[in-house]
Amino acid sequence: MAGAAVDPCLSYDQDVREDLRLLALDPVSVVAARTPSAVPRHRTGSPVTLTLAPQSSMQWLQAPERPMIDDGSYAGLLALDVTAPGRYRVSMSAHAWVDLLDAAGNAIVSTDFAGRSECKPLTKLVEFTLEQPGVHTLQVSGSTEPQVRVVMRPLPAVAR
Amino acid sequence: VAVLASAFVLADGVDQAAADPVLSLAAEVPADSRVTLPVEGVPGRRVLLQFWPFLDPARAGRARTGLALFNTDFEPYLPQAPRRSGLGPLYNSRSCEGCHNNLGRGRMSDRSDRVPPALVVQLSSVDATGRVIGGDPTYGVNLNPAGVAGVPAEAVVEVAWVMLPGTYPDGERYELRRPDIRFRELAYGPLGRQTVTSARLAPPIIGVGLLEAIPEAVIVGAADPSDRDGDGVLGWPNWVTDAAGRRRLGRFGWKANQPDVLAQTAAAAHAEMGLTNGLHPEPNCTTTQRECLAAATRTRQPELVDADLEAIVEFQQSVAVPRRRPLGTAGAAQGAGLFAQIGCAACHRPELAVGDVPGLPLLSGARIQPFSDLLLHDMGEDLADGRPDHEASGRDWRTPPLWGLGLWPAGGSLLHDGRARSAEEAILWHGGEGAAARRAFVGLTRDQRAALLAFLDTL
Repeated sequence: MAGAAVDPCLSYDQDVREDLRLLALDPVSVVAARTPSAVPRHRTGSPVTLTLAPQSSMQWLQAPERPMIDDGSYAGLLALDVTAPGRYRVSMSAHAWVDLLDAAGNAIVSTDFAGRSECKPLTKLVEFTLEQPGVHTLQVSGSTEPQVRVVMRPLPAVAR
Repeated sequence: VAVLASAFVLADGVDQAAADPVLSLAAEVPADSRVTLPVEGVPGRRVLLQFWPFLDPARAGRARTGLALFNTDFEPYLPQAPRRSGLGPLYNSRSCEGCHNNLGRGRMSDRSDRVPPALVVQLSSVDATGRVIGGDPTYGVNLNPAGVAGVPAEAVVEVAWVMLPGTYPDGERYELRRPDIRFRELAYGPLGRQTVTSARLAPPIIGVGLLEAIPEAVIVGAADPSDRDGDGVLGWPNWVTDAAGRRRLGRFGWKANQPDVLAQTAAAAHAEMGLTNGLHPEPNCTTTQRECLAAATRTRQPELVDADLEAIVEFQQSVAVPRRRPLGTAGAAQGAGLFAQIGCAACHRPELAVGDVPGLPLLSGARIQPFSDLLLHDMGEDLADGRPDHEASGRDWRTPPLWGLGLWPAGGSLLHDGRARSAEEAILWHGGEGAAARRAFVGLTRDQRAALLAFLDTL
């Protein structure tokens, strides 16, 4: 059982030490795209502070799988260069929904997820298995925060 | 209607009234049946959160709005967004989906640690005779492990899993787990001396519109509280009092303590998210929780307006029930027979008829396959929570519907507190009126048990 002063970030079932380390770095700031036509690109394994736009102004590549109301919601698109197939984890500092789209624009079904409201640096994580390298698009939606720290990093191939 | 002919909803005119329940169960799924109803979002992923395909445009629009509200993370107060304001002051989850986060049902943690938001600890205060007289005098009707700024969370709720190994007569081993739910850091003092607790996992939402449309007489008519037929399986309805003080048939919740989807939704939004609404206009604070009361004044009232509450209800009522998968293997077909033979179908009734389904005339009068009787049954001491609820005792639980059982990801989180990781474990926890079926299951051969489980996987 947890002790009286346990770190809430340690209550994840997943090993999140590397995610916490990355999110604690001083990340680059990027303005997320509102439309699929000019999406900024970033690399995996590197955290980014993403500035989002009011969700009502968004043009999606794919409608979010888990839509939320526009009121008070922020959203944006970020392209990520994936150099190798495998398991990846998206970790973020705010409550928001994430969809990951492959190079053809098809949504990739997540393989796991978890969230801890009380863990402020890492409020949510979502895992995906990517079959192909290439430019993938991260769609963030429903965030009540206009800025969110995000990192997508590869995971070891073996099951945790 | 044709699209439904091989789904859980059986079209009128399909002869399913075979005298032999084994044949009935085995025959009703065509070999080429697939889950083919339209899916919103990613095919194959949201199959348990898809809408009926024949919603009229206005209804579909309201259902989509309800889905978005169901998904939305609420905030304590956003001046620019009153529609998503009102979280707390005390709460379990920021959204409906935060608890129903596993394709519409809750998912329990496998670790001995803090419980996930999907597991809610409900509280009742009982008098000397065991009669419920309200919630806990200090904490109310459930423990809220989160509070908005300045409002202490009520407690940290943790689970410690106690592993219980067992062995079938044929030597095959199994392992059950029993949750030991503990509270620490109770911020407002100890629980009342007459308070009883019960951990409840967020139940699935598929098909609730159909369960709501089963005529009362159909449910009550199947009750057998005095075991007239002598099969050892009783079953009785839970008569509850709704927010207007009317006596109603309970249908929803683990003890059937809510009469309809609206009441269930309004109660959960209030108790677990802190959203005041037309049925629960007061803040979810007790009179002794001063910080909570002080924090409950900024937002518009009610925080969840009627139109939004009704949209969330219509969304849930619009969620379709996926087709059953074909029995496929001989094992699953054999399992369908065993399901009836060993007594599972006595409570998990394969087929019921609905009456009028408001707004969905194509479903009105359909026969459905929820695999439930919506009645209460004594499930024995091992599953007992000791917490009465209207006419349910601390040992009684509503038969949970089994439809969709095989479509959820592996790692089940079944039963009221998510202790069962699979249908097999759920069966092995059956006691009381379910004890005979459990004994029969245990006495099957390994292949027969596998066949029965294969059948359940087709639901």
